[in-house]
Amino acid sequence: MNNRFSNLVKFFFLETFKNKSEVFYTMFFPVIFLLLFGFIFGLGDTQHQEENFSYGLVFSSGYLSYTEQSSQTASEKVKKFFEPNKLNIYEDSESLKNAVLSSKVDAGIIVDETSEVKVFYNSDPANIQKITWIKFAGENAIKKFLYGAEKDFLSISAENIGTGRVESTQMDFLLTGIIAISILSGGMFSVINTFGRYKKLGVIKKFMVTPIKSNEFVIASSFNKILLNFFSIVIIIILGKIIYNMNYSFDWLMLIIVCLSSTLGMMAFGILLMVIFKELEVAQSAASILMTVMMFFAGIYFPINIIPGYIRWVSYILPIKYVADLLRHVAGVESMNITVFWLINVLMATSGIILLALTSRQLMKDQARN
Amino acid sequence: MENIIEVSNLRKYYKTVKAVDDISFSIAAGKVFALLGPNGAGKTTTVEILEGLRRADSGRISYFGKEIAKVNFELKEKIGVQLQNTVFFESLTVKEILKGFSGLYEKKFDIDTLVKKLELEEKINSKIKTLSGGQKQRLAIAVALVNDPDIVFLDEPTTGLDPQARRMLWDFINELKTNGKTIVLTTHYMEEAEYLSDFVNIVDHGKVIASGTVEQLIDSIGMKSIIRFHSDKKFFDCFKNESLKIIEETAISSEKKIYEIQTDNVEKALSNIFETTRKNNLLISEIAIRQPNLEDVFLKLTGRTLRD
Amino acid sequence: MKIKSMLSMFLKEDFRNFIVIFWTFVFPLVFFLFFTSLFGNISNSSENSSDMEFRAGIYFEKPPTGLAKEISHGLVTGLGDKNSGGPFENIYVSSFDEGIQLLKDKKLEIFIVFPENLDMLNLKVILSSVPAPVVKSYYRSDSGSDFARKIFKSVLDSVNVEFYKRISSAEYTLQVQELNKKASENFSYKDYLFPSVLLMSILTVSIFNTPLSLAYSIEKGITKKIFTTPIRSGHFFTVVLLENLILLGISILLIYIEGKIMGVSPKAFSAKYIAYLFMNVVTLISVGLLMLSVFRKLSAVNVAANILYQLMMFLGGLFFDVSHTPMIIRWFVYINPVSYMAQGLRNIINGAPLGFLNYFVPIVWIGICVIIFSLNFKKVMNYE
Repeated sequence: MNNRFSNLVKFFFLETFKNKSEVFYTMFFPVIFLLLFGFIFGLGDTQHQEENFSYGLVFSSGYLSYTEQSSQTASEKVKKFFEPNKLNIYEDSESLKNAVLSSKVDAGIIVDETSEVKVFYNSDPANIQKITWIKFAGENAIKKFLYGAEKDFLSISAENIGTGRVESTQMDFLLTGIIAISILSGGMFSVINTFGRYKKLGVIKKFMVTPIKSNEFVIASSFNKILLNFFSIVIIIILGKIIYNMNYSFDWLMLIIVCLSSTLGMMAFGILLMVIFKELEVAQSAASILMTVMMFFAGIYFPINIIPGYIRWVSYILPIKYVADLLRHVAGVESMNITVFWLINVLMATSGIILLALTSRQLMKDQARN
Repeated sequence: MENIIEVSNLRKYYKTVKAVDDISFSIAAGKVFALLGPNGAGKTTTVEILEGLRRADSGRISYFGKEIAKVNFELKEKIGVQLQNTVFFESLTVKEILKGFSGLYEKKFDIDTLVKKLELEEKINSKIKTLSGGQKQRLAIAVALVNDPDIVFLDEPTTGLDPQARRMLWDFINELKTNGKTIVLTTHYMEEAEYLSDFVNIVDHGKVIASGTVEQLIDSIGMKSIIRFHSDKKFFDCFKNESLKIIEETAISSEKKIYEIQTDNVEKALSNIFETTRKNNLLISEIAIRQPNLEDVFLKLTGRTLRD
Repeated sequence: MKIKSMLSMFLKEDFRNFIVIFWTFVFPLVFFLFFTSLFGNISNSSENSSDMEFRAGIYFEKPPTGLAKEISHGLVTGLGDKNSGGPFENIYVSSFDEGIQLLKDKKLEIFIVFPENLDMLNLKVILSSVPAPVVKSYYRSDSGSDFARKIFKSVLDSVNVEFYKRISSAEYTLQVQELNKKASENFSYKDYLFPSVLLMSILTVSIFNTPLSLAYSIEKGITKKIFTTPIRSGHFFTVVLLENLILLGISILLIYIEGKIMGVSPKAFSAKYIAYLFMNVVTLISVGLLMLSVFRKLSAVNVAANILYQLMMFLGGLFFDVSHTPMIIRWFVYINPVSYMAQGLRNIINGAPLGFLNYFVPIVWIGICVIIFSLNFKKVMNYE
């Protein structure tokens, strides 16, 4: 039996790694996401930076004469209130409006001798979150200037509490989230694509007439998927380090455990989808929907806290949140209660193994019947 | 009889492979013309050139007495094609496929008649993905006939079918011939070519190695009858008769072989065989006598069987 | 008649295909609804942040008195007051360590510590030279915690402004205006997202459906069978284009109906918008055909479609700003026709004119794609 099983594993190893499509999707496709989202959302280095905005301002001649100051004086004074954001002074409101419309500045402010201060934003913001901060920062700064709030009554300090072994930034959170997505999609899609393909080729039927048990078949073919998935993660980690100079410090043994348990869990899920939906294309679509939902509910690209209350609960029932937490723990980015860590791993692995055992038998029967 | 298709010196090369290597033939109207040969012989390439799916590197093709540079749309109205592997949209029904393809031609054949003749009535509203292999094959032939063509190209129409289904299709093809259609058939089944065709071209490695009617081809190898039997392996050494030739011997166990001996005189040959076995105390069984066939022709010409 | 027959077959096949129905029709509608709901939440955060939930730990190092008490409690109450749009759920802790531990355990998004010298505020209002008490906020690196930190900082800034406002004789009001919108119109994230959903739907059909279904038909031999019939290649492609235009037309119509129900700007229903949208459709279908010319095998088309789709979508400014991304990826933003299409559609809603590039780039893409596809047509069709 051992010989038979090891031969089967070798067979599937060749099959998996010679399949260019599968290797691409599992190993290199996540790299594209890494590069894409890393450059779009990332800050490029490990220093935590505040995003700085740029403002434009016009003092009307009426205001300057009313306050008895020159344009230069007023300009120097007002710039201090806007720091560290950038402030440019414009000659007239037309040029300021054009600057706002052409995105040369994020917002424009017109101060005249009346008590009404006009604030302009471009009504085509590309980043909805950014607009909120532009508004807050700009409005507070100009109000402080107008009211002469040179010194704060209440100051604020902000301290980042490192919750992991290493000093981490949002980029580290983002990247570990991307790795989590990669593990989950790799696990789920690999079985769907593989079993769907095997079904179409008649491979499963062929194996059913040999002395191979259904669980041996599933385990042997799955083993290579786990391996492939793991290689993918290693590539992402290495690239994250090289390109983004990420500050993580992986506990590799724990990483293997997390990779194994998470992949097992998602593989079982993939097989479950195959059993429910029977047809490869439908199962693939269901898996794609699930992955899309998981990506947006994971709290990776934007905080879960801002998801509308009536659907926020979805985040808590999807595995991605937990796998991302596990990965952050093994990366040293964020610590986790060790009991909780093992509990999640055991839960995922156990449910994965149980589902795999139960559904593989059913899947093989279905495939053979078809 | 007027030739409906004439092919002269047709060539099609793919890099180092000579798929069609200087083939010439004529197809008479209202006849079944078969291209017989093993897989990879160049049969499909040849017919696909005639169907307009591929371009010949050189050579001339004439349809209805007129030489053509390429198979134009006018010509396509007059031909029907069943490809070697025909795939249709899986979610459409048999009726929808037939109606859909019928809509692509000016001339139309009654679909209900086609469905009845090809025994697809039960499946007329079934989706393609639910059809068996044989049903899909019959549908492919039905689609090839929706325009009531003058010439029908059938590329391996009975591959993968059970004997009953095969026989049913043969009868249908004969019926087409009776209705005046010209059939161009490619096959690697010798029995199919023998049963259906009026004229056969045997093709191997891109060349026509023999052509003629079935009778002409068989006569050309000069074989009359073949006696086939099982005996000990020592029979070959013991059999001493120069007028009779052992044309085949196949081992079936460590001690026994199958022998085939060709002869003009069956009685005399049998007598010689029994004498040999009696004298040498050899066993003999499973005696059968058959007439030569196209397989023997191919074997004689190439040294290989059609199935090799 | 021939075109009608073939078109009928192709469309029936599409409409019986779950994948096509879901990704072309259903997904964009659900996506629009979900994201408008989600990001609309953020855009209205300053007016209506009651739907966000951040847990703020509150700790007073020393109980404040007098004005300091009034101000700090008022601040904290305001933060946690859902009725007035406070985004926080306030959790009072009894010690600093408890608060830090809760923060580390992710039971808080932010931990706010009012210092023991908070009572200095009582003096500060009289003597400006008195140093300002420092309210310490503690946060984690994850996005939720960082978000909470930013909100709190903004709120505290406005509290400081409020101090000065009360002691000032002047009173200023801010008139906030979004350019290209009338004062009566509120900023609507729906208007921002509407072209994104439309373009996403067009991308799905153009980059996935069209090339994949064609590659599948070619590889399986369906087109081979069609080419044995008297169908001209021009007819065949007319059918392919019509098939995809019909699918897109239905998808766009459904999105428009949803947009109408959700109150998208009437400018999205103008002739100019629809005409420009049609140009975008032609551009992206051409890109799909170009892809098929380059990657002919079904498996290769699948891979290429996935990559191109993600890149065009995420680097097209459909959902977030990509104009300030590093040059290593920004070059793609510049050549991506989707970037100009999204901007163009938004400009129309905003009443801004379409720029030269909004026309030029898509037209160049149409030209390049059509030329390359025409030159490679026979190879693509596997047709000699």
